[in-house]
Amino acid sequence: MKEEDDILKKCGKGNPFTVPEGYFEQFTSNLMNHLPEKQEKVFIQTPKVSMTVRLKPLMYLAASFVGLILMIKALIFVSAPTAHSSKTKLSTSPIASTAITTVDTASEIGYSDQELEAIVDRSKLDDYGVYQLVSEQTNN
Amino acid sequence: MNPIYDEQQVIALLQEPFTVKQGFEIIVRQYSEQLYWQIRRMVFDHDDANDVLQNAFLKAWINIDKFRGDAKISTWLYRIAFNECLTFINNKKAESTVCIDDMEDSEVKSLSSDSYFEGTEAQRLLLDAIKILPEKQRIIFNLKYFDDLRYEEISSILGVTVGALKASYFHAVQKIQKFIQESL
Repeated sequence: MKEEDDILKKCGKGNPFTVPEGYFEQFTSNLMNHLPEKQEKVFIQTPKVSMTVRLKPLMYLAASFVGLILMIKALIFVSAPTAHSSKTKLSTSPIASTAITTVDTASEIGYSDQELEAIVDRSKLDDYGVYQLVSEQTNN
Repeated sequence: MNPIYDEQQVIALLQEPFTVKQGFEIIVRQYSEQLYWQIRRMVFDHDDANDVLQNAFLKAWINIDKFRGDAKISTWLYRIAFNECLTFINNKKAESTVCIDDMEDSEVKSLSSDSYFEGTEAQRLLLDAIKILPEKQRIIFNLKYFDDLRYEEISSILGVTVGALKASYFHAVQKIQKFIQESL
């Protein structure tokens, strides 16, 4: 660059500055004597936690949810309408009411499911009749 | 400067808590003089340069844990030193009660009366011209003109692109040449 060459010719690159005698020799020792102490880093080792301990709170939470759901189901089951209480809402169909009366009487006496099945057969209910009986009970 | 300076060995010393101070003393001994002259060409006064140099090494000591060895130690130290220079100059401007118009005159007078200045009239003129440059341009000019560093090396120190450095140096040279011509 022409301008740079001009400057170089006129002024050169010499160092016009000076320093006090012994400045650089003393600088390092002066600086090192005044350095602040480095704070030692303290490493705190956190104790290892097993997977079981970590999962315990989650397990307790899951168990409480399951318990809550079971309680709600139990409440629903208890408050749900039973077969006996539906007696007051029996269908007006004569065959259905006869069948219901026969079956209810049998279950009250304490017949087993197989015996009840036999009773149903003897009540001469066909498939449609059974369907009608069940759907009427459900609606009631 | 140390006659035998092994950068890798020094970096290893700096990375161990028991040898960090020993490693730091080596780099202070190795780089204090060259850093001093960079700073002196920025602030001109010896006492100011001494303060800035000490602050630069103090900052380097405080942040020695952050030095990862991915750059040269000299590059890292130069960056710290130039940042300290800029901070010093800005603080001095803010504290100065001298009017801005008189500021340059006062600096010229202080250079002439400085007992640690033994340059020729031409060298004083050059320094007067350098003083008119913005601080960052002054750094670029000094590194290129006096130390003849390659643009790539200056780029790694200052974090400025080579293109921007070339443009900045070109404008700095033009300003200085114009100043000298007008002064003669």
